Amino acid sequence: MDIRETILAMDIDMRQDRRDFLRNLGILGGGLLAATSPWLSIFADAGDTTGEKLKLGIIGPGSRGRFLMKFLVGNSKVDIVAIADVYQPSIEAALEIVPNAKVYRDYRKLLEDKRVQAVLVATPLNKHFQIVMDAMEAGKHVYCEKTIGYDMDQCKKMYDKHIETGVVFFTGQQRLFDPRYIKVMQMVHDGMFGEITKVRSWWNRNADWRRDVPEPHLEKFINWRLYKESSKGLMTELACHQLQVGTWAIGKLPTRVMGHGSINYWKDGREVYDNVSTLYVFVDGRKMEWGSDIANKFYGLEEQILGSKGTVELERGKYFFEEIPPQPAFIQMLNEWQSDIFGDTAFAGTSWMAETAKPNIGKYILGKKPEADGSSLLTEAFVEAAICGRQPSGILEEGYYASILCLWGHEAITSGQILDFPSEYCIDYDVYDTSTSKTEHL
Amino acid sequence: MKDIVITVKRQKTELKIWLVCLAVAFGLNVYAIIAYEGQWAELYHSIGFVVTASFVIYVILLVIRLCFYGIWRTIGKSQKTK
Repeated sequence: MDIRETILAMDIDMRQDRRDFLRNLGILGGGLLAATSPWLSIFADAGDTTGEKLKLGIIGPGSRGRFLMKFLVGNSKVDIVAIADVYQPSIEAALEIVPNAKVYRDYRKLLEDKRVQAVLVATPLNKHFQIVMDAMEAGKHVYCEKTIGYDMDQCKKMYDKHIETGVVFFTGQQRLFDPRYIKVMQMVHDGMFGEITKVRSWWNRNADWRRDVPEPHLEKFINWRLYKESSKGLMTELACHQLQVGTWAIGKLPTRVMGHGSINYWKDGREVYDNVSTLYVFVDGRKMEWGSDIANKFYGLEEQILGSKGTVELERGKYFFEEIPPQPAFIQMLNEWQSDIFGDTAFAGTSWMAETAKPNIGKYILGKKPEADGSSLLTEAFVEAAICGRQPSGILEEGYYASILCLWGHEAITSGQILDFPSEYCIDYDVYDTSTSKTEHL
Repeated sequence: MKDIVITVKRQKTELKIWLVCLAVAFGLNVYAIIAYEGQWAELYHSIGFVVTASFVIYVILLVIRLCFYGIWRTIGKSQKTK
C-alpha cells in the first residue's frame, strides 16, 4: 500500500478505538511502517490473548508508578497482585488503586512471589539496575521507566541480560506508541518534509522541580531527582523521550556530542543542573539540539523536526510545509486592490525586510489537537508481549539508545569535552546504521 | 413611531439589485481566476467570498442610492417651497 493511502487510512482509523487503529496499522502500513515502527507488530501478531491475565507486580508505586497503574487497572488482562515500596505514603496511595495487592517492603520478596509474572519498575534511577537485573534473573518480564540505567555500563548490562534470559523488556518510551508520532515518522521517512537537516527539542519549566518533604531526613529520598547519587537531573529525567524522537526521525545515531550545564537560578542545595544545552552531531553534519531550562517556561516543551520542505512540531501536533499554498485568486485580487489603495507600508526594499517567520497555521497531524500520549498503548503492548512471552522488535533497542544518548550527553556536559559515540555500546539493531558512528566526520 | 412598510415591489427590486451584485462578484472571481492563474475549482471553493463580496457591493450601492435619494428629496422639497 502506498504511504499516502496508508496515511489516509490512518486518518479514517482515528475515529476508531486507538488500539484497533494501531492493530490496523500493523496490517495497513506494510513495509514502511515495519521499518519505522516495527514494535507495533505486537498488536497485529500477538495472537488471541482474550481471557488471559498477566499477574503483575509494581516496584516503586510512586507518582509515575501510580500514573501507569491507572492504565493497567483498566486493562482486563492485568491483575496487579503485588506492590513493593519502602515509603509508606506511596504504598497507601497505591493500595487505593489496588486494595487487594500484596505489599512487600523488599522488592526481592516480590520477585520470589511465584504468582508474579512481570514487574513494572518505577523507582528512582539509581535503583533500576539491580532491580531489573534481579527481576530478569528471576524470569520476570520487565517494564522499566526511562532512563533505564544510571550509566551506560548499566544499560548495556541490562540489555545483555535481556538477551541472555529472553524475558520481555520494555522501557517507558511512550512516544513510540503515540499515533501522532507514528504517523509523522511515516511522513518523515516518506520524504514529505524533504531532507531532515535538524531536530531541535527542549523541555522548559518554571518550577524548582521539588516535592514537599514531610521530614528533613527524607529530602534526598523524596527529591532524588536533584541529587547526583540518585539521578543525573534533566538529562536522565527529561531528555530521554525527545532524543529518541530525533534519532527516530533521522534514522541514525549521532556520532558526536557536546554540551554545557550549570546551576544558574535554583541555587537551593541541589546538585544537578537547572539548565543544560546539548548538541548531537550526525556523521553527515546533521544536528540534534536538546536543552532544558527550569527558570522559564515560555516555550514549554517541543520537538521540532526541520526538513527542507517542511517542519513538524510534535508536541503541538502540527506540521507546516515551507511552501504555503497560494490564497484563492479572488483573495489575491482583493489584496492587490487593497495594496493599490492603501499602499505598501514597508519602509525599505526587500533586501532590508526582516526575515521573521511568516504566518503558517499548518495542519494537525491527526486532524485535531493532541489529547493524550502513548502511555496507555505502551502499557497495553507490554501486557500483550508479556502474556505471549514475545519481545516486539525495536522496542527495547529504541529505549536502550535513548538512555545511552542521555547518559552520553551527560558525560559530555560534565567532562566539558566533545565526545565521540562510544562504539562499545552499539547493539545489534539495524534500524540505526551504527557503522556510520565509526566513520569520519565531514 | 410608525410601521415601516417595505412593499413587495421594493423587495423584488432589492432582490434583483442583490442578484446583480452577486453576478458582478461572480464575474470578478472568474476574472481573478484567469488573471491570477487560479484553479477553476475556486468557482466553488471561493463561493463564500463571492457571496460576502456581493453583500459588500450591495451595501455600497445602498449607501450611494440613499445619498442620491436624500439629495433628490432635498432638491424636491426646496422646489416645492418656492
